[in-house]
Amino acid sequence: MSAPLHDLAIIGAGPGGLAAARAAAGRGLSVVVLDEQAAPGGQIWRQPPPVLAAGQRQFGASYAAGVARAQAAAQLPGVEWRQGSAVWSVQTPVQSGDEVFRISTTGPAGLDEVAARRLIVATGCYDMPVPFPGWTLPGVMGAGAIQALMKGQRVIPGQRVVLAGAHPLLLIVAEQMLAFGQPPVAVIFAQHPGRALGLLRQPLLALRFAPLLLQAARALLRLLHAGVPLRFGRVVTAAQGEGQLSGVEIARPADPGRHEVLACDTLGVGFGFTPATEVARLAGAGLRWLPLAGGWVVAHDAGMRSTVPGLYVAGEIAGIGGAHTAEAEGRLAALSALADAGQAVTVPEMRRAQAARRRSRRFAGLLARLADPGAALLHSLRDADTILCRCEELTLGDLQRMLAENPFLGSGDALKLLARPGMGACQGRYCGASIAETIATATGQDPGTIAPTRVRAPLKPVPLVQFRLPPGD
Amino acid sequence: MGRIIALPAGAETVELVLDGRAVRAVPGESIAGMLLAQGIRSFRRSQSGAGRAPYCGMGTCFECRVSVQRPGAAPLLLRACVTPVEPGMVIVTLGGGLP
Repeated sequence: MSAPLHDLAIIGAGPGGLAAARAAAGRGLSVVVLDEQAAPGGQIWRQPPPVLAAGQRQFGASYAAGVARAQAAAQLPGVEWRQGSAVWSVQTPVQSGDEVFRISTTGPAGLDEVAARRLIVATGCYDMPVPFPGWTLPGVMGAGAIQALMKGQRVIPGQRVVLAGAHPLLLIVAEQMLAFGQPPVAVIFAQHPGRALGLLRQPLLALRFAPLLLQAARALLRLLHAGVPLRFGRVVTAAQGEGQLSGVEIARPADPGRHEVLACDTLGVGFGFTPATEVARLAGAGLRWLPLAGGWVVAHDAGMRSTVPGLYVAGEIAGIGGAHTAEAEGRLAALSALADAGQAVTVPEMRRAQAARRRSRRFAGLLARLADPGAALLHSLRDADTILCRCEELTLGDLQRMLAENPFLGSGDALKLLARPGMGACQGRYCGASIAETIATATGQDPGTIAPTRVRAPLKPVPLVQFRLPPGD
Repeated sequence: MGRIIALPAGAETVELVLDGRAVRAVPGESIAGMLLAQGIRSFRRSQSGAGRAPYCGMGTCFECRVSVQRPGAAPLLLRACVTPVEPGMVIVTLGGGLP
């Protein structure tokens, strides 16, 4: 089977991948975009099927503008869009031995393969997994999941929804629920509102990104006006329920023993995001530890080149930074790829892209400090009976016991061999960070010295039946 | 709970089988969207038998996988949140005896 050879492949059709495609289009290169969702836009500009298109207005003007950009991308010259294609393996030119990236995908139509001279990875992020008692109960989900269901399916997955965490996304989701006439029963922030005054420390930067800040401020005012209960300086310490969520325990972080119970059937947890680095890691790209930007992120130079020649990164996998940053980096990554391929890219063009990226990153850093719940708070939410590995159902106590009995275990990979944490269907996406923290605590190391576990193909499970060759092949 | 917009009058629907009964779904919606719109709370069981349901809603956690059989094909365990409904699908969740 010989896959068609493209000049550039882009993995991920969110803001970063879309911006990369726009920058690379029309310059004579053949570009292919691979994306798991049914339509481009990523999570933030996720689109519903046509029958469910009503209600777009309720998500606000910036969402409508993003969706319009995602839809316009279909017309970009020289760009092929492969939606519904989940990447399950990547080989670098060195690994493949034939000087091109080989990317394997799976989808409803079966397996496919793409070959490309250069590769931009813009695989985004997902809701930061935060283990606490009861977080595996049906009804407990990421705040981003609730938003994805609203944007993509026009569904709110419960009648009494609580949103809790530390990230401003909670305000946006709450405002969107309110716009559909189904506001949450409470929005609970771990930090005190005074934290927002931190914006005043960099007034010029805040002014430049005023539209984003105003969006959050407007959401806050609308929620207050509608009487939606907003609580600050509180955390959800446990989810209660038999078989499914029936209520949450709410307490001050400093006094978790004294809690109140709020009845609800759905909890959206939003403490931040985790970069989806698996594709880049499988290709062997070097990582950096940036706790405020999501933990392990993909290392890169000023032009978004990773440590793997020909592989560029953009957006959340280079550090959580939001759609603005992802767009700036997608454009910059594409310009670097074009320049490296011998295409004419002017110096001013490159400088403008780099300056836009720096501004976005500085603002993202400012927001990250405001939203940061702090590692200590997140750790305090777990007890010995809390499940860390959802797939294999291993608790914090299980892992602490294993580490105590095997003092030479110092890595997530070693623990995997012993007890399988990270070897279930999620492939460690939801336990990797908390298990690394558990190892760090048990062995007295900094979490930044515990390498993430090795990733291997298939990155996403592939139905075995897809490997069956058609008759006669 | 459920759908936050009214479906257009006379909108086309897709017929499939959910836990042994015939149901109508919206073309292009995900299996997870359909199940949650129907008020189904638990999709599958964990290894120890505990109920589980969508956590990430975007294809990364695999908590929402259910049995999906397309006409003439073998049943597969697929992520409900990234698998669109198709006519004639036979879907089995925890409520329909998914082991």
